[in-house]
Amino acid sequence: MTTTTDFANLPALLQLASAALPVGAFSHSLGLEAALEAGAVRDAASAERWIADYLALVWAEGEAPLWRAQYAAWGALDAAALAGHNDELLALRETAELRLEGEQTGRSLAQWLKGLPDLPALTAAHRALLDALQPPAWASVHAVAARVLGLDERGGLHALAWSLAENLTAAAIKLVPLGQAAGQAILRRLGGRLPALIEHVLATPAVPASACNFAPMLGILSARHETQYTRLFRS
Amino acid sequence: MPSAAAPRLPLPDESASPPEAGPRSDVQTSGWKASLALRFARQGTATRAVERRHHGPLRVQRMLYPEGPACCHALLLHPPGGIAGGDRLDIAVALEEGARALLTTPGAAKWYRAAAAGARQDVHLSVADGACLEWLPQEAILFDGARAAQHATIALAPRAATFGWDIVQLGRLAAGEAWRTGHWHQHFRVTRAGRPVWIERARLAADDPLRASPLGLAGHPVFATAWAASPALDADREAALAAARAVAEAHDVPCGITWLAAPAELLVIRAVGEGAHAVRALLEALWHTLRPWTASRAPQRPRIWNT
Repeated sequence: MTTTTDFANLPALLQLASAALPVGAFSHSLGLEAALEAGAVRDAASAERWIADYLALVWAEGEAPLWRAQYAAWGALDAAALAGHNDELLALRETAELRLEGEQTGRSLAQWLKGLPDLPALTAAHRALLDALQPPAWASVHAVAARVLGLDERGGLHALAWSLAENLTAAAIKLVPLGQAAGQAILRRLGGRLPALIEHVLATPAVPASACNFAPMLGILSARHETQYTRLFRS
Repeated sequence: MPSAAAPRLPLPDESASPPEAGPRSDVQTSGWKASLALRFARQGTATRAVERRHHGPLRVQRMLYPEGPACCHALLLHPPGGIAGGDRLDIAVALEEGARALLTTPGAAKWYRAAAAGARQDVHLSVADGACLEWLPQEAILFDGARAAQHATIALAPRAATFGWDIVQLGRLAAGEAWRTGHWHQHFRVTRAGRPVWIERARLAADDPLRASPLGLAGHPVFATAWAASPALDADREAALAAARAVAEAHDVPCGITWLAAPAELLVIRAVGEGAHAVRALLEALWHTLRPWTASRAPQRPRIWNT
């Protein structure tokens, strides 16, 4: 299996990063809708700040090191490590809705992966280990998808970070609301910051002890979203 | 977005075995090691402390039974009055089947400025089936320059009951002192049958962007987590959640309450605030409201809190 992100494998990276991936990400705002309700996000600038902080302070410090730990565990087909990291990933999601998002998109991504044709790298051993994760966390499944699609860690992390940035920007366009041009401007700036962010992730030890999820206001707002009267998103 | 800063490394082992010493000032370089292990068991209709070991300046001041023999109220005391650089505190509390205990402290835990080595506190709570542990320590206050590491594990049996909280205040707010330097590390873990079901891991530096971030502390110097679990709470979670949320709505403190389904079966409360007093008042009100589910009884406020 090749593990370089070259042009020959670029379609695999683009497919994994695509907003068209049928995992239901479009129905989740990961707290952004609640942040609008609370007034923490009001306009394009505050929406961009929210998304940038989510990527840099929450995702890169939390699930990203565990994604790398899972990427390594899938390489070794290490059942115990996969199960332990999967438990960590689920337990780091601090509210019911954040958990729902991680579990629902994880299940959908597993279905998508298992249904792909021409993917001999996804062996029976991978399938059995994937089925043993109950429920499979989003990052656990994304890591095996990146691996069997032939992406290296950097490529897989880029695909994941881009899909997060794009999904959250699309949510902001609907919620704030913002024009398409304003949304694209945000995405352009967020995208420009991803390479440095991913190098930071790659320099962080890929062990659970690296994964920090301290984000009290995200937890508070996400919990309040459960009873928010008007809402478009499931989280 | 902060650019690629130096990676945050895994928590170092800040253990040390320093000598015991006499009274201290609020800046100290050598560390003290102290530990306390308590085990409560049910004997007939009463809860008794069947094991009580301490080493160094950490002990139980007294055991009281203000609610009758079934529930033991214990006051944990750390006589030095504050935690200095290099200190290491280990607290282990185990409740056997059917035991009931409420633990609190006589005052805030003060984390002093640390010259070099950080200080660390480990708390391990374990609650067996049918037991009920209420863990209600007063708030932790980080002095400017404090380098604090708090590790806590709460191991719950499938039919355990518990309510607890953890309140942290960054800076000596009453003295007008902000928390400008130092760090606060936390690893908080709730397990069910050994499996982690709720984890919070933090490595907060005094200049951390999370302090101002709208997803982090949004400028608040006080933050708190409370947790509740019991078979009765699980059976009646919608009503309990609604009652708790109604209490939170009546307080002017940002607060979120969520119920995490199996395998966690855990109610989690998060709050932030401008001062520890308002956050404490909210959590106390929530403890009162939830106690019929978590401890099957009306609340009884520990008298030490009035002093």
